[in-house]
Amino acid sequence: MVQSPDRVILVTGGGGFIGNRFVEVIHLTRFGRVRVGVRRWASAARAARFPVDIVPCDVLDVAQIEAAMNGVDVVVHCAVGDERVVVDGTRNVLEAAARSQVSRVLHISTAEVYGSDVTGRVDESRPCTTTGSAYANAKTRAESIVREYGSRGLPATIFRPSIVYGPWSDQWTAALAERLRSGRWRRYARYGEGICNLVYVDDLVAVALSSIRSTNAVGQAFNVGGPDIVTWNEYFDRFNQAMGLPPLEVRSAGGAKAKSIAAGAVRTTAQVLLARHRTILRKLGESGGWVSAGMMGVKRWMCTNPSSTELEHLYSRKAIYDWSKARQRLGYRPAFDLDRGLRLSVDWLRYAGFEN
Amino acid sequence: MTVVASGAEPPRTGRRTSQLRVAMIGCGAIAEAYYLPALKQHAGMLRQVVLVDPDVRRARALAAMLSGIDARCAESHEKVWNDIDAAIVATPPRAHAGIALPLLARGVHVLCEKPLADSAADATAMIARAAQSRVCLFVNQTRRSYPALKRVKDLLTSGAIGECVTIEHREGYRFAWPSVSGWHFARGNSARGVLLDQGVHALDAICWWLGGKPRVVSCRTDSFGGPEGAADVALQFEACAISLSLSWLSQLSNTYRIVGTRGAIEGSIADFCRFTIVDGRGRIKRVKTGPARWDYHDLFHLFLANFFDAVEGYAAPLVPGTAVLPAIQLMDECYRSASRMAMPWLETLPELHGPVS
Repeated sequence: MVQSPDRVILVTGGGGFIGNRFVEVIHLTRFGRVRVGVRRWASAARAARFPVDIVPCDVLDVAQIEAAMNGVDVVVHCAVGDERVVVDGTRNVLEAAARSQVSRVLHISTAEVYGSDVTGRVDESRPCTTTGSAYANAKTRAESIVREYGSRGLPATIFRPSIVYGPWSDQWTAALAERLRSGRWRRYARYGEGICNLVYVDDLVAVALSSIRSTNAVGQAFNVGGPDIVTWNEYFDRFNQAMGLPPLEVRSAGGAKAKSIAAGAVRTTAQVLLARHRTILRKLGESGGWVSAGMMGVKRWMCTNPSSTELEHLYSRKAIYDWSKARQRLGYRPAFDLDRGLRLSVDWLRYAGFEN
Repeated sequence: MTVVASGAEPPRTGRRTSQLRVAMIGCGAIAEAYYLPALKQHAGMLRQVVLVDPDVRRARALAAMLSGIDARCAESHEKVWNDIDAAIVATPPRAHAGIALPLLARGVHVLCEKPLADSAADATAMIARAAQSRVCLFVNQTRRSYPALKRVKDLLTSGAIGECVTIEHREGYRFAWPSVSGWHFARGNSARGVLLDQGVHALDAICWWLGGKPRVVSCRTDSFGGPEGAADVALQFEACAISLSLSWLSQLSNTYRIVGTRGAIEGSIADFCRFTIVDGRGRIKRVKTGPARWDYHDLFHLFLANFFDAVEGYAAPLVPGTAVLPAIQLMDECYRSASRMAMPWLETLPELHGPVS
């Protein structure tokens, strides 16, 4: 990787899982001088362990973005949030980047832009769709904005990773570890036989940064995946094994569906109750008695059972996101197979205080 | 006004009559969330409150919270130090000594947010200056007032679980403090992190419980030159081995467990009023020491009441500066001996990116 200590790289969403990893890699490898953009100071704790510049950069605050963009050569746009943050925030960032004439924008998108009902091998020629989740819809709209600015001359590259796991991943490492550790998580028969397109976070960061030196990456979108093609059931098994836990039991498809429906009903009830009686529920939760123990139990139960959406639209999705284009144009070769990625993830879980 | 050295004289009795002029120095998140509501509760004891912050607009905005109290604003403590009786210092820790020393020298009583200072040298200078000037130097070391932790101290002192053999303290939350200035993380501020911010609570509790300062066996942090987000500390006090895990990046168990030769005590750090004793025969007893619904507002109210009473000689200070000095010294020793903890997920970078700095 070409080191360029004077190149200033702004990472938006620099307090998040992927943004933070960009920060660490850019700083430690001297790939450039990193500027960490955070929405709240509270999210700066991980990045601040390094002697890096941290700046307020709420992507909905145009003045903050303008200030953060001063003197920037490259923008790595990782900020995510609700629809406004993803859509309007992306427009704000690109507008400031265009005005500052940055040399490249790396836009971290998601393979979810292809929708939740795709099957088969999915490469970048597959049209993006807005029929998926609110998050996917917002990301699809954000990509349109990137292309709009690209057509006006802003050099931008889009990356569409699938399931990004590894150290610091809340969703695919920490939360799943919690589910596995609960003893309630299972293999979900046919509902878990979809393809889990895993990519270790460092592979995503490496291919994105390497694209900066590649002129034929401008205006392009790239799927980014890992070397292993495994089912979700297999991922659960191998993660479980890496954590040294007893083997997972199998739950039948019917049982999985029934549980998810029950969990959905509990979740909906809880959401309604929370919306109407948040203060009372919070006080009950803090009371420390049997009520709060019961509430915690329900919360744990909901968290350790998959939702219908997870079963039907993710764990059973039979799609492989094809990253041949990244291999051909960017020379991408993922360095972390699943065993290694999981070993490092488990090392990190120990640091993060997880105990079996 | 009667001036007392920190807890050196017996408390006065009778009814308080005077009102204090108090400066609230530092108008960040803690002032807004806790000190100002507590000051409002003590309005009857206050003649005037001066809100001091370099960002005067912020000070003015917070002054609106003190309706019913004569509140004014200033951008620097130097502009008000001749017009106040007492000051609450709630700035970033690195600034505590620089602000408190001249105030103490001018006879102003000081209540300092924890940690008293970010170095033992500064803390020692502040304590000496307070003694010279015969004024109060208090620390808002909130855990000293948790009924549960006070009872634990009493039990350890009375030998209820025998000699301490091990203490395990695990404390970690995702950092969520609504910092206004970002001083915890902004470059150019302290390069001290969770050990300074949260660790000083744990170190102080340990020194307080044991009645002395342990020695540092090892201290490992995840700092690469900035404030650490996690720290693992091993200490030894006589025959007692102490392990401390701290994080502001991860949720840890937030528990303490003290094992003695005749039993054990364990509790949750977040539980102000309850803990558990396990006796030598394995019998478990749950101890409740006060109302379960206490929260931090109650603690700040308590500390301010004590501060105002002690300033006028009606009470001994809950936590004088001298009490926390061993913890600050221990914190310094930890930082001096700190090495980097193993983080294998960072050691793979050279494979992908070449040499790492």
